Amino acid sequence: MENQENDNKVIFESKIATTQYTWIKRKLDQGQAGRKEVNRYLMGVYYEPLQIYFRGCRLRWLADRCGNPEEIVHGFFDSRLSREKFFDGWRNSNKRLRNWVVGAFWHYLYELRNSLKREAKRYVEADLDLQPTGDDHVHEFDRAVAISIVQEALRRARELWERRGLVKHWQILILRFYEKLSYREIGERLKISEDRARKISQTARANFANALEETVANEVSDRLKVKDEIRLLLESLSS
Amino acid sequence: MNKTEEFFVPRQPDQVPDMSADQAARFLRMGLSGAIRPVDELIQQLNRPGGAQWLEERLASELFESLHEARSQLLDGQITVEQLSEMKSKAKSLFASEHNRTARLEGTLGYFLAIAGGLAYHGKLLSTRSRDDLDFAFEDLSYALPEPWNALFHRAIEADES
Repeated sequence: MENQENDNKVIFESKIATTQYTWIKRKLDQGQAGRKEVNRYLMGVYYEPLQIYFRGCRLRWLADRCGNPEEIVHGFFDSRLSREKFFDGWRNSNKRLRNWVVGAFWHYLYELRNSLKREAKRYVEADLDLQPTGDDHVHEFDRAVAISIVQEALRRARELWERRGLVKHWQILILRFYEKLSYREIGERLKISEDRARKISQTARANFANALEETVANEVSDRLKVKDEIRLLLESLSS
Repeated sequence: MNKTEEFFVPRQPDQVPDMSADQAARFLRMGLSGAIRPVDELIQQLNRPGGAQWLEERLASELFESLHEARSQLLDGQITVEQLSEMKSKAKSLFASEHNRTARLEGTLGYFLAIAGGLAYHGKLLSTRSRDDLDFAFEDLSYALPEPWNALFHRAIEADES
């Protein structure tokens, strides 16, 4: 078991290259299979945040004509992710992924609006007076993305631990940092010693930090900006 | 079937829990402090054979010389907020300026002793770091420190800020 823990300490280290080439970019270079993984990532992280954004933006009236927010976001993914060159614009843009995604989503909403304009002009014209609910939807979008990124990093860490048979790492990370239990309480819950709970917690924390770094690296164009991006994500959660 | 449906997998709630902004922030901060925090290095040092002796030697070092009697002052609470603030500033400078491991660890030790003392004896948070983050570090440290030092960190965790 000790050897297993030592191995686990370097699980993520080997995956984090010093190059600026992020996971998404590497995957996109792998063709169809890689694109599929990128699409999964994008939908996993942005599915809920885009619904939040949509509910607050001034084109939210589209929900009356085109389906609920879930269907709208699903339609966006369906429309854009099947385009082979969808990510090319982002790769050349130096933009944060979330800024670029929300821009693409906005274009999609405008396409929907324009298609309705042709079909049902009188309804659309009346609805164009609708104002956004305020800047809150932008802030709420950022906030939701920050939470979603943390959850994605947790998912990555969990998958890795499951593959390695280290389920306790997952349990202890959640009990310690999500539920805020003491090591004594964790030990009692999992029937292990306090000292063992503390040791596993340190390893799990280190593994998670690396998974988070790798996940956040997907959001920026430059790997060196990962810490700055984490600070921005924290700011979006602070108010 | 839509084009994306074959790989459309919304998050499974049983795999990753829903979380509040505060909970997400706690996890995000782990990415800022890095996989190995300075406090983890200090804990490793304290856990080595002779860790308790190493701690006593550090308390006799230059960093703590402005205190009349570092050991008893830190343990008995006979230490002012000003003394703790000065100690924290010196500890941070030491951590930032010195490249040798012992000095870096000494800086980390001084920093956490000062912050814990501020909370435990005066209810003052002498750091811009989040309380949440500090409490986790205090608890980790308390497991590595011998009696009676661990009691200082337990007291800091339980202290309310005034």
